[in-house]
Amino acid sequence: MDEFTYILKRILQMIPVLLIVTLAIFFGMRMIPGDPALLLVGNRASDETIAAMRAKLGLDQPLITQYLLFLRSCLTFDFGNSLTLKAPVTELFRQKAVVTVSLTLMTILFAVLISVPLGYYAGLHHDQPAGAVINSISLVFVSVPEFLIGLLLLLVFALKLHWFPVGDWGHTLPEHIRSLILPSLTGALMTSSLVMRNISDNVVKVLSYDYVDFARSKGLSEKRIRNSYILRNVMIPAVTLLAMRMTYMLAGSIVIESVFALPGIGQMMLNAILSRDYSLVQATVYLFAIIVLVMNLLTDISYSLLDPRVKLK
Amino acid sequence: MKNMKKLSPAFWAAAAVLSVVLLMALFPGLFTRYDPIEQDILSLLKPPSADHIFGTDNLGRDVASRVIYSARLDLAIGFLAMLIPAVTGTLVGLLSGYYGGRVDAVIMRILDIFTAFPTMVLVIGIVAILGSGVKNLFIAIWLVGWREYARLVRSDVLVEKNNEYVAAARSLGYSDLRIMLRHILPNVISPVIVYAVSDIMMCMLMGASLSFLGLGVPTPTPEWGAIISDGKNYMMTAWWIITFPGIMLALTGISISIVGNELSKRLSRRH
Amino acid sequence: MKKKVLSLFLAASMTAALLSGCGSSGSGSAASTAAPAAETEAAAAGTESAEAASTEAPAADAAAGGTVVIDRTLDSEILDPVMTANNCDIWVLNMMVEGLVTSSDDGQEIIPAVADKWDVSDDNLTYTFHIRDGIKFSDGNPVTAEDCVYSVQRAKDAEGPWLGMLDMVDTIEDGGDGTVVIKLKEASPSFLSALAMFDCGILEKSYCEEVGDDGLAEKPIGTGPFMLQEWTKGDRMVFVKNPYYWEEGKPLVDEVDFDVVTDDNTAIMQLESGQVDAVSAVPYARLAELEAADGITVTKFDSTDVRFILINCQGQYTSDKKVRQALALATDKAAINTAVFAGEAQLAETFLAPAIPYSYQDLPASTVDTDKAKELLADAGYPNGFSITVQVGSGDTAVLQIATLLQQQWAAIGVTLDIQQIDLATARQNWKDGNYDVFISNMTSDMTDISELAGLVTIADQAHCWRTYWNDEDQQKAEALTAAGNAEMDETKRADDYKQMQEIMADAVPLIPLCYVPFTFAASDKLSGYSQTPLGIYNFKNMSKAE
Repeated sequence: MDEFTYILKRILQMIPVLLIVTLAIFFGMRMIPGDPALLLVGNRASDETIAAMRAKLGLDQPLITQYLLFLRSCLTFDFGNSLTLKAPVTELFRQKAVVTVSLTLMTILFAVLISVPLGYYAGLHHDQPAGAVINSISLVFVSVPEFLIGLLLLLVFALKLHWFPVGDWGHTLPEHIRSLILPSLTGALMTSSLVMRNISDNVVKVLSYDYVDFARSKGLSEKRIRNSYILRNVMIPAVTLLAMRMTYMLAGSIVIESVFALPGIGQMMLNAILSRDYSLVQATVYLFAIIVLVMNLLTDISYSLLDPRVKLK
Repeated sequence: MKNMKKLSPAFWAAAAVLSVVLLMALFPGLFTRYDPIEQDILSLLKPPSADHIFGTDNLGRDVASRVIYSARLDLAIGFLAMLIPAVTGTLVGLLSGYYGGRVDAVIMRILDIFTAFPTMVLVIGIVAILGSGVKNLFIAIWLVGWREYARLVRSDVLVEKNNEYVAAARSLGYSDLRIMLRHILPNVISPVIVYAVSDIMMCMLMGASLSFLGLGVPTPTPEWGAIISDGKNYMMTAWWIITFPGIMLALTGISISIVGNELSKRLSRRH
Repeated sequence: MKKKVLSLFLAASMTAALLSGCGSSGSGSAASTAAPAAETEAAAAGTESAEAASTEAPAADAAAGGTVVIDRTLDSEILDPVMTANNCDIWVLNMMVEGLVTSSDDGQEIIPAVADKWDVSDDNLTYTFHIRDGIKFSDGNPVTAEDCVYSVQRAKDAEGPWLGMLDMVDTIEDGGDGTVVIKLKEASPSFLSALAMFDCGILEKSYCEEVGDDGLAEKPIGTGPFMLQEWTKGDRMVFVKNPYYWEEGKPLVDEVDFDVVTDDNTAIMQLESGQVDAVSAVPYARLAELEAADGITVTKFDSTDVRFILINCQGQYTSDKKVRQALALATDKAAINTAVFAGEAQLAETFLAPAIPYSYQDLPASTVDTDKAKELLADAGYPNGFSITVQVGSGDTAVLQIATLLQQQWAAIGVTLDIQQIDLATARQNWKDGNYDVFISNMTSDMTDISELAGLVTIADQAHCWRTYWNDEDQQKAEALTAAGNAEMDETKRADDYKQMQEIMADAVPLIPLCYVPFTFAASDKLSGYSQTPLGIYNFKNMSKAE
């Protein structure tokens, strides 16, 4: 019951947060110089043509009217058409979100598969060469730019070995999955470096706690100690990091999308901002905000599942 | 402390690398005779040779001297851009995690607002309003950087504050501030340092990868990330442009990490 | 290797591909083809029989069919012909939509399209276009005079980027018997060229009214060789053969896909792996490497793309003509060509590319003269130079490189150039508002006539001389010459007006022309028969793909 009230409270708290987000994105976008009308009619247009285009886009209306219109669309989830692409914003978002969400999920999956066992191992063996090697390799991956890792993977596994397409989203589900492997791996390397170090460090820390010694002295099996103490103390920060990276990737990784020619949110968002496509940017940020809020709520709930001592309140 | 070991050889190697980088940052002229921004239209894209040990770039500039002169700005970006958000974020996370309840709810909702904006949107907004340039690059990174630290520290504190030593400290009547800073902080600092080390490198690379958003380091100031990203179009024909700054970046990063690791070992205390 | 590719390439008799830069401006050299001239008829007096500038059909019909995949870095946005000024849109529009007339592949002539012939009255005021017999839209409906009147009228009235281009037109009417009669207010040498522009493409009236402007922007239906089948924004456009295309047997391929690949390295790898058939707009730095590669042909199409530096003629320092002349004298165009365009561009003295009619290419070649430039600066009252700013749209590597080169070149005369990287929309807004010192930019022409670009740069009312805010005696003279040229029906006199105008521009320096750059296109050797006009428009109806 407590949990239920907590979740309800959190959902109610989302309302003011979302309201601030809509205010900030709406007025923020308009504070940025650059006129979508000018960008649409092109460099050679006269002042009159630009003014006519502004009227056509509804940008000549008072800001407050425009804001209320936006607010209404936030409630109905009908955001109208993109200023520059003329297609329904919701449809565009859906198209790109499929790519970005799949990419993010596969990246996180790879990151977990790489970082949890390696980090755990490196933590248990932190004073041995194996641990040190794992830790330094993880660092090299943080310091190599994503585009370089991506291009090298493409060069070797796509161009030379033909195991994967040279970037491309494909048309069928098996093609999509095949297309996602290299980009997910690229993203996972950075993420798992972070998570691996975090896990390994926390394992070292937990092992040094007195209560672990105490548990040992009480004759608890090594397996039991690992499960009940280490995992509990290690998983919360790891989940936090993974959730952070997940949020980050859900906003769309421009670099990975660009190198692997994936039509995701990042590239669309970048173009929308650069072309001052107010309707598209506003709607995307709003929808993204909802996703982030839900993700954060889920993360907090997961804390109490992972460690019953953490109470939801 | 039982395992306070002697400093490892790896530490000394790392310290040596960092000293060299620091020297490069302070006295770049000692390492090269070339001007990093001087273009030479007659020697474009020359491979490494006795004249230009790291070759030249697409505008005929000496890559070696660009790599060397980059050290100053990169160290500044790495440390300054990391430090302020790390400190702010850590403190915010401590407060939020320790007090919980209403404090946590308010702080976390503010954090939600910041997180709800994709980094890219925040950065473009900041740069568009403040203008481009190194100073605003810092401001932008500061404004977006603290979110991660706050979240990370908060999650650690949530677990940590349930440990016996916190209750013990409370029963001794220590103030909240003292418990947070003297007792909890040392136990949550290690992941922060680990993250910060990676963050340093991400900041160095971020400047470059965000240069297309107007967040670039002003041309022609050399900077590793920027050299790498400019050299991208030439990576198939002139590998040397991105290879050498890449190696410098990785070496510096690994060295900082080793030193940071040693540091975090010393800082964490056990109760 | 390079030789082999070259000979293969010549064997395919690709037109308009000039390996040694983009020098030629005459219609003959670039447009010569081995193919028989298409059976076109230009009945009008004063309109030469149009030589079809099509590329040679492939050797065997067996090669017909197949799907061609082409990479480009940006996707189209709006496909409503009257509402877009974006090259990514314009270049594909002509695949789907044709005008009554169109421009030839070399960009020098007007050739028949939806209308197979036209008559011009003696006073040059009334044009009668005869709609091609049996021509149909890609949905199978016949093209009527009503459709044509609707489309041209729409182009004339639309409050979009091209407002004013058809100002010379008085009325557009259905002349009966499948003719369209267009009456002009005054004789205009550029009317046919304006009509050949993509914005006058013939659309199906009933369809337009049914889907509205936004629907049209997503999918226009015209008479072009291809039709849009599928479009995932930001990702892929699929064009399929128009089964009703009026030219028998064309197009040769069944499908042309445009894939958006923003990273050049990835696009080139896709071409090398055979995953795609061609890459449009290959970076100049990669050309040499691709020319040497096996199985890949690199084509440099003559273009109207000119790179230049716009100067704010009301700027604090740059309002002085001597200052502008000094900056021009300190600019080393050859160095820019070498470093930024890998030497593939042609140095420019006028802002009009050779592919644009009446471009005056006999201006004296500029040389770098820092001494004279310093003198001029001293005369202007700035013996110690001054400091100005250039805003560079971030992510635009070519412009950033040009700015970086200029910084060093202008430093030689004491001018400090501060480079600010900022997002392009902001930079453009500042430029539009006249809030800049110098601005590095480029333009491509959209019509086979000089009037569009000449007007843009010299006529104050149009866009403040392309936002240079040039406004002095020189400008007034140049404007008068342009206005005269735009209305002059006599070719020799017209050429002379424009020549004088370009001489004034070269002296007054509201902008510094840098170079003309070719359109680059790298394709698998399996592909042949493709071309891109100097206006950038893709012509793929003769393209074929060998197995």
